[in-house]
Amino acid sequence: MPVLSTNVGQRSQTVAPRYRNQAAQRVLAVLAAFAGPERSLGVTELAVRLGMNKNMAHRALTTLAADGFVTRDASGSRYQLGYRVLALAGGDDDEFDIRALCRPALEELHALTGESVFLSIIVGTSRVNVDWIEARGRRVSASQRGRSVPLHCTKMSRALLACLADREIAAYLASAAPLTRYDAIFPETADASAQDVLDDIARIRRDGFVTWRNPQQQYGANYVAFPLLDGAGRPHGLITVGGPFERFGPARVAALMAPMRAILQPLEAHCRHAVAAPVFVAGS
Amino acid sequence: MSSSARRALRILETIGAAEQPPGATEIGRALGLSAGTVFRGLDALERAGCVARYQSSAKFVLGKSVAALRQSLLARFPIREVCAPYLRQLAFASRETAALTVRLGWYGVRIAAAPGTNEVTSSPPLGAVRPLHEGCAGRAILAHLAPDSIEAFAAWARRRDAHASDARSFARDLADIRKCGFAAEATPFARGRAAIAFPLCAGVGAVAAIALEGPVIDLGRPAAQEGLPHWREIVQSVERLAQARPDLFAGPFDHLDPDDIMLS
Repeated sequence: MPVLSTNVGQRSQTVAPRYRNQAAQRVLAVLAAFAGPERSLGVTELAVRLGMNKNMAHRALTTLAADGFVTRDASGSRYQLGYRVLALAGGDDDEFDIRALCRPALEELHALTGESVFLSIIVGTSRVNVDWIEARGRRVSASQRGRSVPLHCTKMSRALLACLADREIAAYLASAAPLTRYDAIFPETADASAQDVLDDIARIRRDGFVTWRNPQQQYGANYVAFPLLDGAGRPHGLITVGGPFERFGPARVAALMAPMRAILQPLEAHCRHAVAAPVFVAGS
Repeated sequence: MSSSARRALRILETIGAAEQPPGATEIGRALGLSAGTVFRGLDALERAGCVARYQSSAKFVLGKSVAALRQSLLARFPIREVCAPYLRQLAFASRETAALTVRLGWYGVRIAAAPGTNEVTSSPPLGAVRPLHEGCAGRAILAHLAPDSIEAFAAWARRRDAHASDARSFARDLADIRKCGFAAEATPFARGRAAIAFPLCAGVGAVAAIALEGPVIDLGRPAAQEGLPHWREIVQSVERLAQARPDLFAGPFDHLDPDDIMLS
């Protein structure tokens, strides 16, 4: 319906400034306030937060409560999100598209660091980069699109391997033996023993992230990677930031750690609420 | 509060319930509102991030604010996280989508799912709501409520006029479900076969159900299904957890009177 589209667009551009539909907007603002971490909110708290008087906040809550968008909490004196919100099924909202979901975080991380950022997932027994933003100038480059890297090769892959269950890791290592068979392709983790891989896994699990430098190249790259887990600790994917060592060394990574984690925090919280895609490891 | 706010909420619900992204005309028709009124409501909703344009068209889908609200609410159901690994196991074992439906008043709401490995699925979205007597998940829950709750449900359903009038066949159906331990629901695309749902009981009755949403059993010989004992075993693991830690299976609306919860 292109005609309708044009009308709506024109309307919102030309009429919106003088028509504000304030009552509806106030109610929607009150509803939106419940998206935060608090389990319940009081009338006074809401009024202060939204810059409206208590009477307005109360009336908005009454409207929302009438249809189940908010309800009284168990104490009876405060309000919580209502059951009606659960039934707003939508369509696209429910699809857990890891690439679409992570894209804003990739953009923010790239803007913060100025370095290349990658999103990787497990496909079969390999890691595959499914999205990335490449920095300009001297930079860590994106590998060939669709290239699969065995889960014990490269530290980036091991960061994903670390998110699997111990029995899956054991089954993988057994099936991938000899672990040196890809050394020519992935020299950065050449000559690795199963114990080397397990040591890396222990470090990644302890810290919740991993940093590494490519030891094969004098002027190599430095990386930091963060796994994205579901509520059961299963991996959705891995976000990695990598840059030339002289620019993105350990000191800069340490300085950027807090803002990088702040960018990833909402994404990590979101990921916990969706079940990660199944991982197939032979023999597990 | 103003009727403009309530109209905006109606519009929001209409967009949420639509199978395809609706335009202003369709919304107006569904709600009996003029185009101008719908445009004003959409304007307020769009500004609040509650709705967004579908692929830059004149059609609308729910916006990021609603997604954030839903995520915030879903996070208050610890049962989702508890059940996630079991749903995944069931999806692996059955090849079909395994879904968690919780009881919310006299309704079942689908709040978590692990996709199966079959390439074709007809699973509903998260947030899909059905009265308890509709669908295998709701009936599995209903059959395992305390007798007085089943009576209260029947009274509620009669008031809504949505419940089958044959009370005897209703009672028989629930007794059958209790006997075999799961409820079945015929799948229209696979004749003679059915999806099934197992109840999850914590405390005095069922609080949720886990469904395998594909044609996993033969309706003629349901008990003969090879995978059934294994699926049952997985669900029993969750139930043991529910018995030991009922707090993990509590929901944010347990304090409300079921009769006060209206979802359809």
